[in-house]
Amino acid sequence: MKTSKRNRLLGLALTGGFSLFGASGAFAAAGDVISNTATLGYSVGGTAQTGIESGTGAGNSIPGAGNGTATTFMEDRLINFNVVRGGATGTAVPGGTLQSVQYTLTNTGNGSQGFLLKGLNNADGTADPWGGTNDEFDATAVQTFVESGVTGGFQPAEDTAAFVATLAGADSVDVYVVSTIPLVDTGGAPLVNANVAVMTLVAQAAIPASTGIAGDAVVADDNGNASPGGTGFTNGTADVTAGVAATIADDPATEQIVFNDADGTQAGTGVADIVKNAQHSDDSSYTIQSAALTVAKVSSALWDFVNLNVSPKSIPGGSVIRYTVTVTNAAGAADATLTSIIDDLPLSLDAQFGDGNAANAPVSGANNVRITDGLGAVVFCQADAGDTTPVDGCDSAFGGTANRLSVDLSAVAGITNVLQATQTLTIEFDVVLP
Amino acid sequence: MNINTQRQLLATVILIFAFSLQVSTNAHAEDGAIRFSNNAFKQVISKAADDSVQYDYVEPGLVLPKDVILYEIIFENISKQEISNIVINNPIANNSVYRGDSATGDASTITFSVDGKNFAAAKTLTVKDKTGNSRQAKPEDYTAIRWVYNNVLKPGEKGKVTYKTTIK
Repeated sequence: MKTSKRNRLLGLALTGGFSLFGASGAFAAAGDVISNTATLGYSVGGTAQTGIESGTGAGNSIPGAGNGTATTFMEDRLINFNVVRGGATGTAVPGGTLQSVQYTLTNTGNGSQGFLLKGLNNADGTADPWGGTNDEFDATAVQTFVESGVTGGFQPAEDTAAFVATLAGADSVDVYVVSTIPLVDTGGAPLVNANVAVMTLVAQAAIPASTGIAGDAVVADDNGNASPGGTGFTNGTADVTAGVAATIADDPATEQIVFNDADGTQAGTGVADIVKNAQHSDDSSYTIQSAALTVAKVSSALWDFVNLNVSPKSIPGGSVIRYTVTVTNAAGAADATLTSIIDDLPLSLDAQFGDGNAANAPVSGANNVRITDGLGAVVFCQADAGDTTPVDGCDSAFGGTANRLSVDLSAVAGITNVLQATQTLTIEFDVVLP
Repeated sequence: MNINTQRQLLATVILIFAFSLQVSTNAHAEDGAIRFSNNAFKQVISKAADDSVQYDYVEPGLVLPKDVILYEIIFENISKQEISNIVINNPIANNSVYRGDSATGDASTITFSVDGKNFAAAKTLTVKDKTGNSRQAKPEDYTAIRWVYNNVLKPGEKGKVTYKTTIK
């Protein structure tokens, strides 16, 4: 059914005094009949008389319980709600999928309400509400998901609802805008830390529905206000036809609807979000926060046959050279999960890894590679040439066409391969200069 | 049953009927002694061209949270006798909160209740907080209002009491 037809039905139903909003919750006041009767006791000639209940209009003059008429009217439905960005920009990595930005949707009306949701990417240059740089890349595959309440924060396996079926008055729920992050900005340059994409979450008021069911949008109130509608709500499955503003005469006996939402931030990506339009929106952003690794490698002579280990030189004939490879993650960068480190050494070395016999050799016995992780833990592993399936993560292939040391940090026991901001991982190994 | 018995029974029935008529007539004499009304109006505030604020009270056709409702209660002596000891009780309506200091009444003593049974002056009412300690009741704690009309209402005279609530 088209939304416009739905709204006509809604209007007819409300005019008839029947509410499509269903049973009100314990705190839902919309649709409640507010009733009041006063009672009066009196005496005539000093003798107490039967009390009398109040009536409406001119009043009641017949004493006794049940003869009065309560003054009644119905509390009408105030549709009011807000979308507010969460506590921080959403950190994202280049090329990441299912990257999330958190918002909070709060129903400040006087009855349960459903909400349709839509996430939007903004144009380049849009200001970052968190004070970062202006928008410079476009998120894609933008979706919205609602917090299930099982595990806080966006959990793809748990937070699967693309809309809010019903939200009681005064209640809040977290909503996530979820997107894919490109590898490059709109100019084609690789994304780097602090690059920003500004996102918008738009919520459209809807009739509250059962769990798993998206209610129809409420696109016009009885007070002359209408929703602008829009396409692509509930992850592209629901388009909302713009409402037609109309003013309905006030009626104490029917539940009438009044929009009272504030204006929102949606502007450049659709119809501006004005006050009292059954939509509210707010901006937030993705900020690229990736690892920023620096890799350095130095060598130093450890021993030679002339000087032994006193001011040794890198001279041919069996000198032992120590290589130190450092990997540092910059301050403010995201955690880096290191996998493999490969060091191709010059073929001219025709070297082999130190066997630990050299004075000052950093390694002992067969374990000839020393690894110090970002937390300072030290382990040794054996880079044994020709080890096709290294169980300890170290391998080497010397001679022939390559002199290569390779370390699979994810397979080395006793260290963490996660390098946090400002941490440094070190790999040391010795070679023999022929 | 013999005839005498039947006569006695009939006489008894007639007597009961006659008594009932008398009682009914007496009761009916009370009908119409007072006309008693209670009407609700929504407060609408508007600003005139001279910036003066105007309060209007209209039919509560469109009522939303935080709207102010005026209840106007009128009692009129429509009998030919004086009426005394007039006491009006009015519970605060559902979804509504009494607005402090809004109750008025002609020649009346106004008291409030937080339980619907016991009435006292506003300053002397207490309620217990979440920790069980007593505190002075606030207007939002009131559940009922009572007006004791201190005058005698003569035939044809009217009295009026009012109060306001805020819609939750």
